[in-house]
Amino acid sequence: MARELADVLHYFLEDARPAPCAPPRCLALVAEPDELLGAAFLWNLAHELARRGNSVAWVSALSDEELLPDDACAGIQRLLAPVAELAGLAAAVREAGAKLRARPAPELVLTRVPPSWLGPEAGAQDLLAWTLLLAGPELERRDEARVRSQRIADALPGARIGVTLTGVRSVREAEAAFGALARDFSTPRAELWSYGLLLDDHLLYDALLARRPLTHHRPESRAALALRDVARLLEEDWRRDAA
Amino acid sequence: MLPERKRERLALRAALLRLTPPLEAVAEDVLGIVSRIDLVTRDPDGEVTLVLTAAQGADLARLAEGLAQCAWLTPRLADWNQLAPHLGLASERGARLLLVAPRFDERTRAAAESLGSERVRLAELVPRGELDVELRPLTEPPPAPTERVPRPATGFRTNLRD
Repeated sequence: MARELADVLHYFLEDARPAPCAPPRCLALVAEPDELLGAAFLWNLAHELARRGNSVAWVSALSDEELLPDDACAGIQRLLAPVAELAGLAAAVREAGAKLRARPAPELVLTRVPPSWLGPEAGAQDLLAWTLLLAGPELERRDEARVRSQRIADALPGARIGVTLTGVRSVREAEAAFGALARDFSTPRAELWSYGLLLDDHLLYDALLARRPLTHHRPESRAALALRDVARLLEEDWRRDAA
Repeated sequence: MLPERKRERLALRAALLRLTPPLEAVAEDVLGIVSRIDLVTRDPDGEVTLVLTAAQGADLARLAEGLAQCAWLTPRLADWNQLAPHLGLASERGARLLLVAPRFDERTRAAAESLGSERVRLAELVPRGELDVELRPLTEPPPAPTERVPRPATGFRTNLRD
């Protein structure tokens, strides 16, 4: 049976053991379990971040994620976490580095959190420090984003709340929608950060059905360009924070 | 035992991956205009860089050759994307040149500087042991299109345009 390095490390000098890894950074997408766009977006985003050379893991607590195509070959490590509340998911994220034995250890963990789980429980600090919402230009969807951002801020004052605009047809429309969202955003206890927009959202599903990440499936599409841009913005902030 | 040329090429590919941003080889020994291109690479954003190596004293001539190869390759990148869409080449941005040599003539440096790092970068090739090499860039990577300073709760951010 094949053995991993960790299984034979005790044969070597003490100094040869790897130092304990820093816990990975977590980006939590706050979305209802039945919001398929959230799952399709996160799956494609994970692939794009991995393609850019990042070590990415996906901690999956929602059952529909088990149906997503296997992404081990893309270098994304996935950990199923059979939990039903925030603290359990936070623990799973914290332990992801140790549980996922493949190397390199994940630097970034992606996960989805249902809004109903949001609260000031233990673990909120690990899970909600950096969150992402998908918001649309319509009043109803802006209102939904406002309520969710308020709940995140209540659970973790000072949280960074990222917003990616969806359901828009142009950059101009997305910019106007973000401006309206920022005006709606009334809590001074959190920060609202813009993370671009998604165009032609339906192509995210097409890519999922084709079992190929969007940036491979339709690399020249506006949807792929927009997804790359979102990934780049997230990566830049993450790297800047780490520095 | 690998032939020496193959070994050098492998060491160069490994060194390219250590650059910032890393350059991943997507094609090797490509027949370009009249002569061959050592490597065609892409960075994590899909931008294409053509890599030419130059022996000592030949760098000025290779610079001219590299520019000609970039001009040859740029209009073909869209076709490459059709043939190999998984590479995700940023064909609209064209190809730039990375010239690699043990040392550079003052005239090569001046020419590269006047062309700008958007088009040409120079890197010195330094042996590291018998099997490895290091690349020391002489020119900075091109600046990001726009400096983005995040402003919480205010600015909309994207690099896309309508």
